[in-house]
Amino acid sequence: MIEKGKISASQMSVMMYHAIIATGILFIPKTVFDAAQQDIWISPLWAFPLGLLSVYIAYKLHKLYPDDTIMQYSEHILGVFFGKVIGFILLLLLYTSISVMVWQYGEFVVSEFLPHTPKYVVIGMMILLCAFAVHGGLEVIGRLSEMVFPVFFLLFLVIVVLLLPDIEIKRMLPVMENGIMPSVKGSLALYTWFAQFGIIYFFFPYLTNREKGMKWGGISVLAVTITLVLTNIIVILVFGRVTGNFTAPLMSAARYISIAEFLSHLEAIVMAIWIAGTFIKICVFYYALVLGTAQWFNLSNYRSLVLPTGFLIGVFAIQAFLNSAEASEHFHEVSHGLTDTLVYGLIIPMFLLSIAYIRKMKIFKQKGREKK
Amino acid sequence: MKGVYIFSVTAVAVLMFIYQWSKIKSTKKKEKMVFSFLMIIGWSLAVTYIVFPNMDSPAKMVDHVLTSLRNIFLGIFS
Repeated sequence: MIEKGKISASQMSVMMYHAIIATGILFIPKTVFDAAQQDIWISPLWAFPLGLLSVYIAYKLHKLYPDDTIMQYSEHILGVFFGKVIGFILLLLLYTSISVMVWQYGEFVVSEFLPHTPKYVVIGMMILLCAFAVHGGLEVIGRLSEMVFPVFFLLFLVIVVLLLPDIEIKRMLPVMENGIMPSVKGSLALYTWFAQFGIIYFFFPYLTNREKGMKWGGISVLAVTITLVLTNIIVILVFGRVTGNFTAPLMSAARYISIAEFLSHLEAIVMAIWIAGTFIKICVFYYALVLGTAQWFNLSNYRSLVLPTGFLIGVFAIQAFLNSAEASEHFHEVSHGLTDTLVYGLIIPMFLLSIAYIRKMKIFKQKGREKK
Repeated sequence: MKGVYIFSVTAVAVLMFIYQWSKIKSTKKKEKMVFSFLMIIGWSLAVTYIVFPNMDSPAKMVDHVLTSLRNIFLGIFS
């Protein structure tokens, strides 16, 4: 096997938690608010089944081909040529997806904290750091995410608790003013994030306790849902109907904290947890990309591809959008369904699974005939 | 200015090449080929983007393809 390291199922679940929540925690409230208004905290509950579904499909495929990742079993299922085509599409979508993430990171850091630093320096440093982690292998990323998780969660809770004096319950009333439809429409935007759970198919074969994979994957989806509900509730309770005016409402809310005049300017905490989370997120996707590329070319080692892939990601990320107007156009597009994450996280695995089942049925039928 | 950018991108690519090339075992021809393939794609894309800064990125192209796919899909049902 190309990757010799092993991670435990709980490590995988923490990795996936970061991979979804890192950018979500800042940008989800605004994206969902456009459709759901004051019901944004209900939307994650509607998106929850979709996350569970993409984990379940990946797990079912893993059960059929326990030692392979999607790059390898797509060839088993569809034959070499079509398998390679699907793999190529998958890699292309992963490249675009990760370039958007890195662009978001660069844009946000430059606009909020380091206005005089050129963006390619910010992006380049992050990619270099991630390259070291990815070069270390899967175990390194697993342990890093385990290390980051308690800090992340603790600081997140600190922010939530410190915002409690500013909340007003009446801002989220009336609940479900226009029925459940607005919140369901809002959950369409969340599918982008929840479909990213599909990338879990790159990690299932490297688990030490494979039978627990589904359980911990489910726990990860649940944890993401709870965190998002908590974030959305706190944001809507603090800002009410003006939530839509901020790009990153949680950040602005943290800026709002001022307790006894000395505990203020806490947006640095949000930035710190956000950068730690984004680091894990980029690492997870970067690793999946490098491993996928190596398997697509049938190489025996993926480590030599880490640097060129990073270079390519950097080039794509700097060029991803020319300005934030183009980016917001992209995210507007994204919030109306059918996105790249939905394609690689859900549609392609679902397609592969259905073909695999049809083939299996055929084999059984042939065997039945032979017996007669 | 563009010349400086192209020069620095080339410098980064050459440094990466020098660092990684010696680490790949000489028996592994395929790895060397894939490595140089990715490096050449990356470098040429970087230079193209520097020379034509308004060119579309893959993210936008994928967006475009997916939106037209969605429109075709919705057109069937409506």
